[in-house]
Order: sequence, then structure tokens, then C-alpha cells
Amino acid sequence: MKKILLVDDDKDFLIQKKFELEQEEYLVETCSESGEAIEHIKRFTPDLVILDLIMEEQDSGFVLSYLIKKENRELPIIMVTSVTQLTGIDFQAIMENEREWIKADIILTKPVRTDQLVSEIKRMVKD
Amino acid sequence: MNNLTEKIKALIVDDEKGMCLGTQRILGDFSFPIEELDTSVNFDVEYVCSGADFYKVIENKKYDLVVMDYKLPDANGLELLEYLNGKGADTGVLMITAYATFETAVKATKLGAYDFIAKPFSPDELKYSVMNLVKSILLSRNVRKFQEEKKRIRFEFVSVLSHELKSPLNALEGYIDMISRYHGKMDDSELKTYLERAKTRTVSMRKLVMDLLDLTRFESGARNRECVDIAFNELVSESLNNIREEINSRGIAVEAVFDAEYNIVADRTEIEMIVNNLISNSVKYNKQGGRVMIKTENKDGDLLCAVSDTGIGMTEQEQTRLFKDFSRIKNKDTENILGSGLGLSTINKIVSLYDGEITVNSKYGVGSTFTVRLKNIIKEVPNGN
Ligand SMILES: Nc1ncnc2c1ncn2[C@@H]1O[C@H](COP(=O)(O)OP(=O)(O)OP(=O)(O)O)[C@@H](O)[C@H]1O
Ligand SMILES: [Mg+2]
Repeated sequence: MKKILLVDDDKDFLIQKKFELEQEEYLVETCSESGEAIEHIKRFTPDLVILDLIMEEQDSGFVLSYLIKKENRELPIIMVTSVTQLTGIDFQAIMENEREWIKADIILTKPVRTDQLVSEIKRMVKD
Repeated sequence: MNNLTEKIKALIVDDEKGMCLGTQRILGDFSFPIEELDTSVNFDVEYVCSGADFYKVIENKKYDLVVMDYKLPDANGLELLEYLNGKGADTGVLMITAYATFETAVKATKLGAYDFIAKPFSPDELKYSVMNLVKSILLSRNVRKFQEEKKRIRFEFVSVLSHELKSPLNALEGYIDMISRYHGKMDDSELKTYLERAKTRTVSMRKLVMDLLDLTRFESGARNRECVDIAFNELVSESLNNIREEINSRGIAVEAVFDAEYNIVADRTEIEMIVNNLISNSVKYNKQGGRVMIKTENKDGDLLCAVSDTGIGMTEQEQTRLFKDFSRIKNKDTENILGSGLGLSTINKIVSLYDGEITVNSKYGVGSTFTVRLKNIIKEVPNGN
């Protein structure tokens, strides 16, 4: 069974995606504080990490994905976000300037449909 | 009064060099205050003697003020004015003309000339016209700046708000999708848990909308503020009674210390909002069986009220963004606590109406103290019994 770690400070996102991904035959653990994610990864050794862009700080997700990739170059990361143009942070601009820096493999916008999520996971994590 | 100075960049356009030099000297020595803007104005003056030169300098520099002769050998004032308008320059124009016919005056005014002055003019006439012109330019710039700032703040607010409203909506939509897709695979207790979570998000979204309405009503000034006599000690007791149930159910011990009867003069709704929010936080963010302590003090006629708790506390970094709209601290300790993140920002706005301040002192895992200081609102009590 492939293992997935969910990192988000929105409890409901964790509850929902955990349940749904378990239905799709994944082994799922959740983590609600980005500060604990690195430790959690060491312990759980997931095959893929899904994390939110904005947690405690506006850029928690960026920092975290950077840290993860530094230690686990091959670990696939899906970043989810409800940031759009309208939320005041110009996501496009962030991407222009810091494309180098964003280590997530793909970025999905919330709400994330489960079938979309599952097909991305299948693409990145081959059985 | 910090009295800024504003240097007005002025350009004189006249084919008589003597006129240019004279005007340059008059304006160069001229300075006057604009009280509305708390600023005083003086001038940096250049001149050109032909239409051709005018076109040249205007290419490279923005002027606040142009004093131009209507009749130049190689151009007329209306052409120059039109050109200036075409460039969208924010420049005030004072037209000098020996024979302002009604027709040219109308035309020039339509093109944005502000005033006319007839040759020959006295230094005082010139100064008077220039002063009015500069005042009107600076005031309208200021209004524009203010409106842009307002727009920006509004945009930021709406952006954050839309984010705050979108997250509960996402959560609700998520539960709906999840239940419709997988309900066959859920047992009753799972289903119940998910429905309860969905309900909680609905409740908190409603609270957000209500809090927001309160805040807007408050900020728009739509409320009539009314300063009345308030028995502060009683107000605190009432506020505690309002959440007695929550206090009891969490086994929290409350102690209120008043070294005197405090009678204050203030708007009741505002003071209630301050006290309710602080007390509600000290209970909400407390630990099971914790303590809350409310202490009131008279500091030279200012009311000092401190609400302390032995709750979850905050790190120093977390404390820096407490007072912003919608700001909530998200971690394991707070994940099950409902809130809109508007309480403290509202308090902050109210407190500033009383020329006061709110400060925080907190230690992560140990507890917090919020202290409000309201200037000069304690009512003088006649001495003696
Ligand atoms: N006494 C306290 N102890 C620990 N943390 C606190 C305390 N008071 C406030 N906080 C933190 O500051 C944040 C902002 O508080 P604020 O009162 O503005 O919003 P809220 O309580 O989340 O929502 P609202 O008051 O609008 O219902 C809270 O979310 C909480 O994390
Ligand atoms: Mg609050």
C-alpha cells in the first residue's frame, strides 16, 4: 500500500482527504502543523506529500516544500491552495519570481476534486 | 504640527525676458502656508522664452505650475495648453494675457487653465492668483491620494474576507461531495461525525458574517455614539454572567479585583465589546480548570483593565499579528475553537477612539494578559463619604 502524508491547518480538509484517499486504497496520515511535518515524514516515510500553501504564515507551504525537497529530492509533493488572483496575493507573480524556489511538483486549487487528486497521485506514484 | 514644505516646480513662459526674470524673482521669494494640509509652499522657478523651448523642457520634466503668456511669437497659449493636456500632466496653468476676450477665456478654461491675469499686473496680484491655484492643485492631489489609499485598504479587506469565506465553503462542499460519493461505505457514526463538522463550519461562517456586520456598522459610523455613565464593575460582572455556562463547564475559576467602584463615562456598546471580547478570549483560549483574573485600576484618570488567563498563551511571533482583521493563530491548541479573528482588531479600533491602547503580554503554554488603557474616562467622584 502506498503511503500519503497530508499537511494542512484546515482540519476538515484533512478529515475529507484522509477518508477519500483511504477509500482509494492508500495508507494516509495527517499533520496539522507545518513545523511537525519534517519529523512526521522521517517517521512515516510517505511516498507522496500533499500540503497547503498558506498555513500559519502566508508562505508556510513554500518553506515546507523547500525543506522537504532538500532532504528528500525524490519525494513527490502536491501543493494545494485556495490562493487565487482575488485573494490579494498575486500567485502568478510569486511563481514568476520564485519558480526556482517552489519545489512542489504540481499545484492544485481548492476545492480539490478527489478524482483529479487521485489521478495526479497515480501519475506521480507508480505501483 | 509637523509642518512639511512642498516645493512647487514652476515654469514661466514669456517672450519678454524681463517679465520672466521679474516673475521668477517674485515667486522665488514667495512662500505661504496651506493649513488644511499642514504644509507650507515655496517655489523652484524656471523660465523659457518661446513655444519651441516650452515643448523641449516639458518633455523632460513635470511642472506643478505653468505661468504662461497667452501670446508668444511662435505659438499661442491655447496650443501649449492643449499639448500639456494631451500629456495628461497634473499641472496648474495661469494664463497671462493683455486682452482676455471672453471667447479665449472660455476656451482656455475648458482646456484647463485655472485663472487669468491681465498685463500689466502687480506682484500682489500675481501672488494672489498663484496662491489660489497652488492651493487647489495640492488639495485635489491630496483628495486623490486619500481615495486611492481608501481603495487599496478596501481591496485588501475584501481579499482577505473572500479567503475567509471561501474556506468554510470549501469545507462544506468537500463534505457534500464526500458523502454523496462514498456514503455507501460509511457507517452511521462516521456519517454523523462528518455532518457535525459541516454544521460547525456553517455556524462559524454565520458568526463571521455577524461579527463582520458589527464591525462594519461600527466602522462606518452608522451607530450613534452616546457617552453615558457606566458602572464598570457591574458591566464586568454582567459580561461574566453571559458566559457563565462556558466558564463552569470548563471548570474555570474567575477572580475579579476592583480596588474601588469604577464609574466611567463612555459609550456602553463599545465598552461592552471590549470587555466581552477579552473575557471570551480568556475563557476560550484557557485550559480545562484554568484561571481568569480581571484587574481594574485608576491610573491618573485613565482606566486600566487587565484580563489575565492561565491558558494556552502565544509565542512572541504569534503576538505580532494579533490585532489584524481575521487574524487567528492556528495550531493544535486552537483547532477546535471557533472564532472569526475579529475580536481583537475590533477592540483595537474602539480603544483608539478613547485615545487609549491595548497591549499583550503572553507566554506560550503559560498564559496571557491583555491590558486596555482608556484615557481619561473615569468620572471624578466627589471626595468624602
Ligand atoms: N487570551 C488568549 N490566549 C491565547 N490566545 C489568544 C487569546 N486571545 C486571543 N488569542 C489568539 O488571538 C487570536 C485573535 O483573537 P481574536 O479575539 O481577535 O479572534 P478570535 O477569538 O479568533 O475570534 P472572534 O473574537 O472574532 O470570535 C485568536 O484566534 C487566538 O489565537
Ligand atoms: Mg475573540
